[in-house]
Amino acid sequence: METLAPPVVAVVVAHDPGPWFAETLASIASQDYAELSVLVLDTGNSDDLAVRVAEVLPSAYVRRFEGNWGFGATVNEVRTMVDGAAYYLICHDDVALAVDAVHLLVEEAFRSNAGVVSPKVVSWSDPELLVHVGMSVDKGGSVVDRVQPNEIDHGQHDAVRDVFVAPGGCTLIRADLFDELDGYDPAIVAMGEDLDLCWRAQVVGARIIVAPDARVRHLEVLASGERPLEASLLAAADTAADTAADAGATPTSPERPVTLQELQRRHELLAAFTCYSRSHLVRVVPQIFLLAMGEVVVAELAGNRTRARAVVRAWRWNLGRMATIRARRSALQPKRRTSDKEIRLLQVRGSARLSAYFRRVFQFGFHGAHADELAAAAASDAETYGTADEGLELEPNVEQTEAGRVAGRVRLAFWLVAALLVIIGSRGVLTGRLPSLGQFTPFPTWSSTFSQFFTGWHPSGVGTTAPATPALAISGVVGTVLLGAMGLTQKILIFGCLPLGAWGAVRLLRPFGSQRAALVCGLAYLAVPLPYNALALGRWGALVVYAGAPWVLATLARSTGLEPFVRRTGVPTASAGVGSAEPGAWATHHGLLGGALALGVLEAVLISFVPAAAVVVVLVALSIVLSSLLFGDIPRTARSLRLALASTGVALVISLPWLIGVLSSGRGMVAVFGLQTPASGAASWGMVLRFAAGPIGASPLTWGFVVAAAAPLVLARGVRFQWAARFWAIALVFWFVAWISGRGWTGGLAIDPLVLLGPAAATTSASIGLGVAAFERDLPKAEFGWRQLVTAVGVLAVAVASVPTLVSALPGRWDLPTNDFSQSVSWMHAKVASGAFRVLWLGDPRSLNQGGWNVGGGLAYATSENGPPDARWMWNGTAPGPAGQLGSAVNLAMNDGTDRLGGLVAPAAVRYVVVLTSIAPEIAGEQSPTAYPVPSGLLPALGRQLDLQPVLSGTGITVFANAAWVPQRAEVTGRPGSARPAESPLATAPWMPVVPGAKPVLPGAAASRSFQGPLTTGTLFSSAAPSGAWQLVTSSGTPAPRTASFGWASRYAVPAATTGTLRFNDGFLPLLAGVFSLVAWGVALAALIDRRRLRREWERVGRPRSWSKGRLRPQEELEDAWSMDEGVLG
Amino acid sequence: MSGPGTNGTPTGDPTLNPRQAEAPGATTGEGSSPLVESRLARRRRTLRPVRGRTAAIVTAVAVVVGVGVVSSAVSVPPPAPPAPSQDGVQVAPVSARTSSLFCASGAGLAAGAGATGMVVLTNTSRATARGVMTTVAGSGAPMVRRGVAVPPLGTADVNPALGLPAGATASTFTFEGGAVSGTMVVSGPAGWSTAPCASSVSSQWDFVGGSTTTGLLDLSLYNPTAAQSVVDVSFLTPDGSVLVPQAYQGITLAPGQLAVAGLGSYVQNVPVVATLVQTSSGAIVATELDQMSVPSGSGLALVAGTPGPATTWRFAQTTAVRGGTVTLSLANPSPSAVTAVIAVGLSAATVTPKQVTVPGHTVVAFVASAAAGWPLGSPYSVTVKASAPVIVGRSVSAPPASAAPQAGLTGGTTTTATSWLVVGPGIPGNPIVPGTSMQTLAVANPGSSSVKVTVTQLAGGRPVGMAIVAANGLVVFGAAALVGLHPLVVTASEPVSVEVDDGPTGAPGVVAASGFPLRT
Repeated sequence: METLAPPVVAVVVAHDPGPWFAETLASIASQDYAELSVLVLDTGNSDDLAVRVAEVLPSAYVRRFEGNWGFGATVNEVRTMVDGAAYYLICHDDVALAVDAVHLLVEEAFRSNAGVVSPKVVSWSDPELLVHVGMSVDKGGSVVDRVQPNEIDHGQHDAVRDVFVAPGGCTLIRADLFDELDGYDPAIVAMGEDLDLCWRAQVVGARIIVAPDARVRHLEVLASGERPLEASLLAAADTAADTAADAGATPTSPERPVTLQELQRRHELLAAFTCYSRSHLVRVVPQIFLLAMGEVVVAELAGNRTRARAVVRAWRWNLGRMATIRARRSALQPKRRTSDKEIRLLQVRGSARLSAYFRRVFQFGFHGAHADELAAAAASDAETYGTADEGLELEPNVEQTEAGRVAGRVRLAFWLVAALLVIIGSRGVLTGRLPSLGQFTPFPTWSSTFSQFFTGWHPSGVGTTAPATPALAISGVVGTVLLGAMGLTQKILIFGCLPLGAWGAVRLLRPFGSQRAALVCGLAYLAVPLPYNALALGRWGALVVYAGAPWVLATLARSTGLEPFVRRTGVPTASAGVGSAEPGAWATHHGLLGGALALGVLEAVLISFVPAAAVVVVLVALSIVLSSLLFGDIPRTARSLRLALASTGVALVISLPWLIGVLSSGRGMVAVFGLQTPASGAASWGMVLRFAAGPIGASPLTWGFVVAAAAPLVLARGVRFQWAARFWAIALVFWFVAWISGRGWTGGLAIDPLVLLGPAAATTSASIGLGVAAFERDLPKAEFGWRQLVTAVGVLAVAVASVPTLVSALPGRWDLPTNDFSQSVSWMHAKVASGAFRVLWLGDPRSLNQGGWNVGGGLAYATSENGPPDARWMWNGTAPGPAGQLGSAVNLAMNDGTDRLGGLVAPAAVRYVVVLTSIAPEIAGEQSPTAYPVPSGLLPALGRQLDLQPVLSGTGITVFANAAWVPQRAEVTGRPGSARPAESPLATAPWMPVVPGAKPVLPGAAASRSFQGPLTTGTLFSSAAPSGAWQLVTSSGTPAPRTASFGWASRYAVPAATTGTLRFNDGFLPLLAGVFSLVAWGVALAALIDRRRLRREWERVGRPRSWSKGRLRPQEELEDAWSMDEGVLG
Repeated sequence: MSGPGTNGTPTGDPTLNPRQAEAPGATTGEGSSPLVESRLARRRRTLRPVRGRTAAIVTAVAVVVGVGVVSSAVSVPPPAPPAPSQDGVQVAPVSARTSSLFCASGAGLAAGAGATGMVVLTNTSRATARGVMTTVAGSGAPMVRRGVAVPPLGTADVNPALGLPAGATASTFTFEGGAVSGTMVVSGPAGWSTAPCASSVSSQWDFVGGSTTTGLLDLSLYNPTAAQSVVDVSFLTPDGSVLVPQAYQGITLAPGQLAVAGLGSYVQNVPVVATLVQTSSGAIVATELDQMSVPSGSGLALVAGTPGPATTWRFAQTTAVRGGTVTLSLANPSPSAVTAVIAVGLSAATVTPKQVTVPGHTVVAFVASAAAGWPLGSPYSVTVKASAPVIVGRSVSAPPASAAPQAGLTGGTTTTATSWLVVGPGIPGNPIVPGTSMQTLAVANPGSSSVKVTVTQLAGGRPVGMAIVAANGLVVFGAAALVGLHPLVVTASEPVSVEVDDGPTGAPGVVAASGFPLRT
C-alpha cells in the first residue's frame, strides 16, 4: 500500500563511535515511521563501522569519508547524495531515539508548519534528567538552555513551543529548507553549527520548534569532553582560518590549541555577524563588543586566561574573515523573510552570559564563581554549550594550569581587595552624579561630541576655527559604544584610568620574572595618593597620564634592549646579532618603526586628552638616557630617546589637523601644555615626593613610598639594581620638574605638576616592586643581617604609606565635593529666553571647567554659552582669537584701565562674569574644596565697574551681571544696516546696552552652527567669530550684506521682514581634516594590528610561511614588528 | 608577553645572562661545589660590590636632600596682598581705555541758596582728554549729558549744574582714556571748600569730623553704576552710642540716582560724628558737606569719603595757630578699643608722640593745638598709627577776627606715593572762588631716610622747587613759589605724602587737600 508519510532520511554522522553506537543504530531501526531511510556518514578511522552498521541496520547506507571535515561539512554531503527526501533527521552517533520519535517529530513539523523540529533530549544514562528542550539565545548569540543542569523531567517542558535553537544531536529539518540554507557552514567544524543553522533558518522565515513528546537520549561525548576534538578537526579549523587568511584575513594563532569554548564563541559571533541586518548590526555589535571586553577584563582579573583568550581570539577570528562573512551575508540577506525585530522576540533579553555570571557571583561569590570555572576547565565537566564557555582546554597543560591557578588565586584575591577598596572609595561618585569641577566637565550628547570634532567651528571664546582635539572623537566613540550614556562614558574614561594604570604597572615589572613583584608594583601604584588627588581636584589630565605612564615606560624600556626588557623566542635569529643560530638565543630587535607606531598611537591618545603627554614621553626617554651615566650604556638607552622622538612624530602626524591649529598660534602655542598658575599655592618638595599635591596623602606616613622605593637601591643586584637606579633617575627628574613647574620656574611651559608626577609614581612603584624582586632573588644569596631588616622596613613602609589612601577611601568620594558651581549658576539657563549669551569665567586655570587663556598673574579666562560649559569647551584652541579682547579687558579692569568692563565685553554677548576662587562651593560642615585664590585686585576691580552688577556672591564664586550686554544674535529694527553699536562706552550710560534697542532673535542651542527665525527690516548683530565664515541667508536664499562690527563680529542688513538663517559655512577643509584624522587613526591602528601579526609570525619564524596574499615577509620586516604590541597591545 | 624571568629559558648570551653577571664566582669556578659552598665564599660573593650602587644612592640622596634644602630656603611667594584703597582718589593711567570721575559737588540741602559747585578737571596726558559729563539732580530732574574736553597738561572748569534747577547735583565724567583728575570746589555764604572727585565707586564710605552741634551736615549718596544700590548709614558718636536711624537704612538708589540727606534730623547735637555708609548691594559714591559754625565764624567743608578705615593716616601739613584750634577726630568702627599713636613729623626736631585710646564704636576728638609740646605756628606733619583700622579727620577753626572762612574739615590720606598731582581751587588765572589760590604745598617724608623732592608745573614742566626732605620731616613751598593755580607735579625719590593749603582763609588747614597720586 502506498504510504502518504513524507520520506525522511536519518543522517547519522559517526566518528569512531564507542560501544553505544549499536544502541543508537538499534533505536533508529526500531522507529515506527515507515518512510525512514538511514544514511551513516563515517568520518572516523576504524575500518569496521560498515560491519557494525550492517549488523544492526542492514538497510542503512554507509559512506566513508577520508578524514574528518567537521560535523557540518560532513552533513552537507547529504545534499549530493540524497534525492527526494522531505526531511533530514540529522543525528550524532551518541543518541538513542524513542521508538516513536521520528513519527512524532514529523507529525509536529506538519502540524506547526515548522522548518526545524527538536525532540526532548534527556540524559543517556538517566532518562529522567533533562538535557535540552530547545534552546534560546541572547542578542549576542550566547546560547541559553531552557532547562537547568540535572533538572528532573516532570513534564514541565512538555508543551510544543517555538525555540531559537534546535540543539544538535538529533534534529529534524525540512530538506528544502536545508538546501535553501546551503546546509551547515562548513567553516564551523564543531560547536555552534546548530545555532548558526537555526538562526539562518529563522531569517528565511522558518519556525524552529521543540516537540517534547519525541524523546531522545544523548550521551554528549564531545561536549562533555569525553571524546576530545581530534587534531584533524583542529586542522580543519585552521584550514578554515587559513582559507580566510588567504583572502586577506587573519590566521589563527597556533601557539595554543583551539578550545571548545573558543569554537563556541567564534561561532556565536559568526552567527550574529551573519544573521543580523545591517541596521541591527550597527546597534548590536558595539554592545556585544563592550560585553566581550568586560568579560576579558574580568577573566584576566580572575586568572582565567582561557576564557579571556577565547573571547579575544573569537573576535580576531571573525574580524579576520570579514570577506567570508560578507559573502555569507550576501547569500543570506536577500532571502530574508523575517525582520530582526521579530527574531529578537524569540531571543532572551539582556546578556545571557552576563546574567549567568552574576548569578554565579551572587551564589558563590566572586572567587567561587571563577574557581568553579577554573575547576571546570580542569575537570572537563562541561555539560552544554553554556558550559563549553568554561574553559575546556583541548590539550591542557595540567602542570601549568595548576601552577597558574594557585598563583592566580592569590593574585586575584589581592586584586579583588584592591578593586574593592577603590570601589568603596569611589562609591559616592560611581553611584551618584559626578560633580562638574576642574576638568570633569560633563559631556554633551554623543552626537554633539562627534559633530564637534568634525565641524570647522568651535564655540570656545567667541568662536574659532581651530581643529578640535581627537579627544572629542574618542569620547564620542566610547559614548556611542555605551549607547549614548555620556555620563557613564565620563565615569569610565575617568575612573578607568585607575585600573589601566595599575595594569600597566604590573606589565612594567613583569619582565623581571616575579609575579609577586609585579603584583606589589601594581598595588603600590594604586596606593599612591596621586590619582586620588587628581580625582579630588578634577584633574583628568593627570589621571590620563597616570594611566599611560607605566605603558610608556614599559615601551621605552623595551626599546633599550637592556636586560630584562628583551624577548626570548627560543628560535634562532640569524640577524639578531647575539647568539645567532643558537636555540634559545635572546632576540634584541626592537624595530624603531614598529615601536614608534605602537607608542605613537598610545601617545596620540594621551596627547589628545593631555597635550603635555608629548613632553612627558620625551622626558621619560631623556631620563633613561640620563640614568645611563651610571652604567655607561648610552648607546642602548639612546634608543629610547630615538623611539620617544619618533613616536611623538607619529602621534603628531596622527593628530596633524589639531597640530596645525596649535602651531598656528605662534609663540602662544606653548599654552597648549598648560596655563601658568600662581606660585603661591605650589606644592612643597616634600609634598611632591609623597605625591601629596592635593588634599589626600598629606600625612607624613606617605613618606613610606619613597622609603620603600629606596630598598632595591640597597638590596638589589644585577638587572634589578640597574633598573631600580634607572627608575629612580626617572622619578627624580619628574619630581624635580614637577616641583619647579609648580613654582612657575619653567617659564611659559606650565605643565600641571600632577601630570608630571605620573611617571614619578610609576617608577616609584616599580622600584618598590623591584625591592620585592630583590628580596626573592638577591636576598637568599646573602646572610641574615641588615638586608633583611631593610626588607622589613620597606614592607612596613609601603603598608604604612598606604594608610592615608585607605583612610581617604572611607568617605567614598576621594574628597570630591558633592556640589559644584554648575549648580550654583544653573539659573542661568532660564535666562536664555531674553537672548543667547555668553558667560565669562575668571579664575585660576585649575578651577575652571573649561580650557582658558591667560590673563596674567595666574588668572585665566574662558567662556561658555547660556550657562556652565560642557566638554565642547574643554579643549580650547591655543589662541583665543577675537576672544583675546576679553582677557585684555579684564586686564584693563584690574589695572584701573577701565570702569566699563561690561561695555568692553558686551560685544561678545557676555551677560555674566563669573569669578571662581575655589574648585567648588564651600559648604560648612559638608564640603571644604580646595581654594584657588584669584589675584587680590580682581574682585575689587570688578566691583568698581559701573556696568557690572553683583548678582551672586558665595563662597568660592562671585557672579556679576553685565548691564551693557547684547544678545549673541540681536536685531535693531529700522533702516536696513543703519544701526550702529555705540562707538565707545562713553556714548551710553553704564546701564545701557552697547547696541541700543537690540532685541534677541534667531534662537538656538548653545554651540550650534545654524540659527533660524523671523527677522524684521533692520540690522542683525551677531557675535560669532570668525565673522567671514558666518552667513545670513534670507528666506529667498539671498545672503544678507555683512559688515564688520566691533572689529571682529558681524552686522547684517536685513532688507525686509523674512525668515533668516544664520549659519556657519564649514567649507571642505574641516571635513578634509576630519577625514584625514579618521584615516590617520585607522591606518595607524591597522598598521599596528598588522605588525602584531608580523610579530606572531616572527615568533614562529622556525616555520615562516606566506600568510598575507602570498607574500613572504622578509625576516627584517618580521623582526621590525617587535616592540609595539609588547609595549602597547601585548 | 614573556620575559626572561617568566619562562626561565637559559640564555645563550653570556654577556646578557643575569645569573652569570650576578654570580661571577659560579662561572669562574670559585667554590668547588654549588651545593656545598663555604661560608667564606658565600660571604665574599654576597659582599661583592655592585657597580654603580654607591653612585646611585649618593645621587638620589643628594637630589632629594639638596632640593629639599633649596625648597625650604626659597620660600614660595605668598599671595599678593590686597592693593591699598588709595582713598578712592587717583588718576587713571594714560593707557586706560576708559576712566571716570564721580563728583557730588553740588550744594547740599543745608548749604543754602547761592551755594554753587564747580569741578576743576586736570589732564596729565599730552593729548586732549575728551569725555562725557552726566549730571543728575537730587530733585529728580532729567539727566544732563554734555561733552567735555580738557587740554593736554591743562585744566578746565565745568559747572555740572548748568541747566539744572537749583539744588544738589552729582556728575559722572567719563573719559576715553585716563590721566584726568577732578577737584570739586563749592562755595556759598558760609565759605568755600575743595575736595577731590572720587575715581571709583565703593561699597563703603566713611567720614569723621562733622558736627550737628555746631553746624549742618548733609550726606550725598550717588549711584553712578548700572546696578541698583541699597545703602545703610550709621553714625558713631563720642559717647559710644551707635546711631542707626531707621530712615537711613535700606536707602534704595536706582542707577544714576542721587540722594541727599540732612543728617541733623536724626543725629542731633552730636559734637563730633562719624558717618559710616555701607551698601548691602551695589556700589556708590558719597560725599559729606558740612556747614560749620565756630566761635570765630563759619566755614564750609566738602569732604570726600574714604572707602574704608585704615591703620595709618597722614596729614602732610598741619599748622596750629594761636587762638585757633586743630582737632583730630578718630573714629573706631570696631567694637573693640583701639590704641592710636599720633606722631608729629618735623625736619629739625623730635616731638613725643601722643597715645590715644579710642573705645569701640566711638569717636574721640584729640585737640592737637592743645597738646603739650607740640609746635605752635609752624607746620608739621601728622601720622596716626592705630592698632586697628580707624577713620581720621582733621577740623580747623581759625582765631577770632580771621578772614573767612574760619573753619574747615579735611579727611586724612592713607596713601604715600613718589609722584603726586596737586591742583588748586580753579584754573590758572580763573579761580572758582575769586581771589583764591594755592597758598602752601607741604611734602612730608614718612620714611626713615631723606628724600629728594622736585616740584614742577604740570604744563611746561617749569620747576617750582626742589628740596631734600629729612627723615620724618617735611618741606613747605610757599605761595611765591607756587604762583597761583598752576597744577603741580611733585616727584620724590621715595614715597611721600603731600597736602596743599588753599587760601585765603582764616587759618592754615581750613581749606586743604591732599594731592592725587600718579602712577609712575
